[in-house]
Amino acid sequence: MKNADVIVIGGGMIGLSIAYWLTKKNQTVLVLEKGSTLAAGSSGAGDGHIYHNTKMPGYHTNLGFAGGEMYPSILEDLEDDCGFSAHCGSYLLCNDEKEYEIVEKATRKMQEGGMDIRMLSGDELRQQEPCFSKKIYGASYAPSGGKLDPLKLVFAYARKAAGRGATILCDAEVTGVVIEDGAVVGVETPKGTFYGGAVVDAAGSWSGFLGKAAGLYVPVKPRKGQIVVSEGCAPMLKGPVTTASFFCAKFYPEMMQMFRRMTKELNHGTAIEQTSSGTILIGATNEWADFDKSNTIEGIEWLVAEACRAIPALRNVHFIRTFSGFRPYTPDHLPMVGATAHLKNYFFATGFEGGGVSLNPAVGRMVGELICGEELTITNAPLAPDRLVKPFGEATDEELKANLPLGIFSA
Amino acid sequence: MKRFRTEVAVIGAGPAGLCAALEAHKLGARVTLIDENALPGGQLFKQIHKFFGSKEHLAGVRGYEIGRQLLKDLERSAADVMLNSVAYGVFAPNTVGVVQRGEHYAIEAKKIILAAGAKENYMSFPGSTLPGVMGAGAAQTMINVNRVLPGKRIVMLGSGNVGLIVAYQLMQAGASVEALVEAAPNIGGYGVHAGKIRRAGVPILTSHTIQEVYGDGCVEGVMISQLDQNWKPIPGTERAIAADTVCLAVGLNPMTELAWMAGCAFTFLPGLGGHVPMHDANMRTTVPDIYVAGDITGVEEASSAMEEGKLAGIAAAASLGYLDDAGAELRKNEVRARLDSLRTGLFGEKRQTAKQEQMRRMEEFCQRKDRV
Repeated sequence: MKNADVIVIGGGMIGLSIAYWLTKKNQTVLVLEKGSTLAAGSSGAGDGHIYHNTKMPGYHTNLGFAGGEMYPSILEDLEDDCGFSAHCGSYLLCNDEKEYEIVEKATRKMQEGGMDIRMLSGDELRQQEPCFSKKIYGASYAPSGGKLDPLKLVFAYARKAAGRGATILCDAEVTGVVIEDGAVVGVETPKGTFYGGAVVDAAGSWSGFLGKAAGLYVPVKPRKGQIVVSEGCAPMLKGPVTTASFFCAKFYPEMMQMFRRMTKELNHGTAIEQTSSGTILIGATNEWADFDKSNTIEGIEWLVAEACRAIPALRNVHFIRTFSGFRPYTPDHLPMVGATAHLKNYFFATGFEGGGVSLNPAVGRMVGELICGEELTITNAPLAPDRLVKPFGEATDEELKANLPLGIFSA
Repeated sequence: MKRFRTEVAVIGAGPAGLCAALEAHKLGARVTLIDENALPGGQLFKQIHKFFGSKEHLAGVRGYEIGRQLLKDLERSAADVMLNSVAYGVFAPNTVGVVQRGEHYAIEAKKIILAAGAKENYMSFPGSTLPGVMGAGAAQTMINVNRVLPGKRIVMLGSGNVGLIVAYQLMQAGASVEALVEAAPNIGGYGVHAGKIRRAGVPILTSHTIQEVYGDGCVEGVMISQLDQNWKPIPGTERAIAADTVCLAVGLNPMTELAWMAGCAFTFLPGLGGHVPMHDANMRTTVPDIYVAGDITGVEEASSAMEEGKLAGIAAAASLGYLDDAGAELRKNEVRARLDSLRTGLFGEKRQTAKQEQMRRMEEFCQRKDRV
């Protein structure tokens, strides 16, 4: 009666990485995606930074670093280079001394955790990446930072997993969770009810809805990021770049006060990347807009203006397209990975808030090991879901309002 | 960024946009007309030929003369005109993003009329990226607007009205047209245009196509060949024509990007040039405050673009209360009657049928929406 050993909900890079690792361990896997294509959510709307300077110092950074180092062997197994560029270095830009001090403090913590991250003066930065404006005061630099094409990665994972027997269904939104004796046994979709030995929530921004269907309070809500895309350009920037305000918006919201008005309003941090095809991606705002995906005139203007401030040569480049996507936000800025005491055989791998590109390799392996009862290569303890997850009925009105999408109240 | 408000924002100052702006302004609306070029008029100023149709369609008048008259009317009006201004996007609520000489504007309008026109289709074949291969419209702009001859020996691909007229005008400008190549078995455009270039000794080669354009760094010649009934090249019929310029007159397609971005519902009608935003008898799209006029609704001619512009201008002004319902209907029906008479004859009827099909789908769409 079982359709698969494991049902994975969500066809993004987290869900597919998990499917990749589980099929590698000879599990039968069913992936259910609500969209009409894979990578329909954050995975298809982000940049491809393998970024170590923008994570929370300590465990979170180290997990991303481990993920980055896993890529070469994974990509070899996937037989697809996915536009991967290893060790091109990643930068976190500081406009002035004040930002530099904040970033330096975080960098020191990362160094204590064993990470190779250094502080660069403005001149040192420009020696490595000459395109940067003289106005940039300095930067933190992670030599191990890299980049890849997230869309290609999702489809390469999918091809490999399918080749090893996984079934992948699109247009299969999970509308109900089947529970027997306190354990999940299956899920309901418009394409039928499917039964499995374990169920994994890899639904990203939509995890709040899925949680409710399972009777759980899963505090994840969408945080919009707008991105602007340029025409293809000659190589000008090797490594991916983010500004200090991005880092602060994510981990130190109280520090956003020191930034310019629009940066504060849009919770903005500039992230710039030149892809392997030459186009330049400029992200991204950090806005609360529920699931409103529209681009705004203010958002686009600010993105382009800030990027041109950091890299003056961009003033001569045509920007040809804009889009936006949702990062799954959690109240403590850390993802949820692992089992829950509230529902047997139900696992979480959600809430990555834009960190999926660096985190998915280690997380996929972690979930694979958890489900198969193996010893963990890296502990999931700091990400254990039950620090946030509880039965839906036990969440207060304030928690529901603050940490779930608006639609949860009409759903 | 500078923000300002207007009542009617018109994007594109070609024949459709100019007429829409003038009509809405005449009725009392505050109008802002936006165009990316240095001068308004769109394609009118390169149309040195006389227009067809009846007297009220300005038959016998040359395109640029119509353009001059419209510009005079515009100067006399108090409409705001923003030139060298790229309208790069439409955002909620009813806001047009515009960049003018590096300055950024957000223009919030009660009604937006999209009259962005159409762009030329391109064709690829070996050598199609050589300098000297260009759109027929580009060649027309060079000779009639900029007074620059693109080359001396021309091969024209496509025998629709654009191909025929531009071939003739290139000869008037002093070039020699070596051949006009047409893949179909028949000439596409009006017989009267084809007759003119035939009489001047230009061979019109139907059932022929370009195999390749060759040359070292620039066009030196064109290899053509004959096509069989299935449009397949017949081996052994290849023939070289010495030329320094190749013009492609292979159709146009509507410039619909802004309408897509605004969320207008589209339909696919090959007879109108591809995907077009659906509109009702008032030129209103499925987004209530957004209207369309001219080639963006399907590729036609300047005369019908002007009438559609007038219709959109009247409808937008009326919806803002500058006309009562009865007065508006009267004016709109006059325009609609002229549009109908423009869409007659062998060529017009095809467009009329396509337009009627478009209107039918729009009605169906609205009914479906009502039911939901």
